[in-house]
Amino acid sequence: MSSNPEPSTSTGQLPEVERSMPVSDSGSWDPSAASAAQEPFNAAKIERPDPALLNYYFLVSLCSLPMFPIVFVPLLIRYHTMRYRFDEDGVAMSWGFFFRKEVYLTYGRLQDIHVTRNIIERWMGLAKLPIQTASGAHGATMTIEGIRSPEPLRDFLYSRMRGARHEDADGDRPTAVNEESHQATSVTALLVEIRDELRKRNVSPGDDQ
Amino acid sequence: MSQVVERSAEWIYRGVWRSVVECFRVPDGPPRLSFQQRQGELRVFHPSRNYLRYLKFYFWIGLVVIDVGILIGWLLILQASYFWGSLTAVPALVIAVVPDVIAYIAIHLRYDTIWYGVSERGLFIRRGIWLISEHTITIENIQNLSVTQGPVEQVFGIATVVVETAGAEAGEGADAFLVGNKSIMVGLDRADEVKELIFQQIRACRSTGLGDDPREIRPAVSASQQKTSGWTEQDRQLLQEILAEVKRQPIPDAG
Repeated sequence: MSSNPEPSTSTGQLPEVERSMPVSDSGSWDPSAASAAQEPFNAAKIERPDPALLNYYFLVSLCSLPMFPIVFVPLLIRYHTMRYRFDEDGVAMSWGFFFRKEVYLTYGRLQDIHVTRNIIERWMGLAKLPIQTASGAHGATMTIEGIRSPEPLRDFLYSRMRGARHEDADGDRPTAVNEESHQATSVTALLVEIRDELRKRNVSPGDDQ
Repeated sequence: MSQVVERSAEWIYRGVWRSVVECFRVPDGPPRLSFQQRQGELRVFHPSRNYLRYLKFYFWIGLVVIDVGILIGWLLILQASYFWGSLTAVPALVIAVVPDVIAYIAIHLRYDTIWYGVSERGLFIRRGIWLISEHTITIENIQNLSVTQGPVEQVFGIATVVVETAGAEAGEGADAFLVGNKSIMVGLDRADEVKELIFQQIRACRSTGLGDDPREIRPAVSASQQKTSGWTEQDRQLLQEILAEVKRQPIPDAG
């Protein structure tokens, strides 16, 4: 009780204002400053959408005034059942209560990464990441919603896309080539030896003719 | 006089820009991409200044058409009734001028919020004010690339480069800038340079850009290479046996 004094006293007001400044800063859309101070980005920690996503869903549902319950209830279920799992090879996303859905895709098969933020999402500090594989369906294969700092996640996905880091593949290829060439030389060496042995036996009588 | 107008316009525009950045949380300045490590040089740029002139060209055409329409309408009212004509003079002027100013500012905002980033490995596009969309792809995933140039664009010396991946197209009614496989780079004055840069990277890639990772398919490749080179381990052993047989033959003495 005493820890929450009335804001009428100036002493209670000042720290409140000071404290609200960094909060509004970190709540702004720009995550690079905030994430730089924090520990390195770990995608595996993203398991649930940000709680602000529920507020966003609420606002979106409000826009359809008379249909509000019909629009909001599925979104509420969607929010509460939405799970992400980022592992070594891919990302899984599941949602739904009555109709469950789970999408799994591997990073190596990603084709496009989008980051979209409309003005309400920006005010709430949220972002969507529609990501695509080479499937033929229209639109995004998976839309990762409710992400507070999309840039590190975007970079995480990008760095695991095919072609983003080539030196790994470059590092692998010479060994494969060497292996093949090594075997080829051993076969060639054998053939050369057989030829030389045969020549020893055939050439020397041929000198008489 | 024109200098004063220019300076005040710039000052007003900077104020508008600040308010857009503050109120609408539009990112200020170029995108900071952390993915360019070990990627070669990353070039981040706006469309060409000619793209701004190109947009303004359409703006002036629209302005003349609409404002002449408003003027004619107002003159007709004035001719019909002097009272109503004088009464609608100020609203007509407001209708004629205010949208023009807003559209002019919007053109500049639109231009200033378009960013392209090209590195050796990736391509990045950001655009939009209300709805900011960013598109990131790797060069290796690019399937095709087209350069289009309309007649007016030719006059202004700019072109549009459209880069497509094997991803799905944006559905009907969906904004191609938000989802979908197309990266549309409008208003490039050095489109050939960008095209050539991307082409070089595509040519350097041996895969088809359909998500096949060389690290994943390497064992399969080496197995097929063993098959195509024709020499299996059994063949090698056979050859060794042949060599041994040949060696067992006595070398005929010349003498």
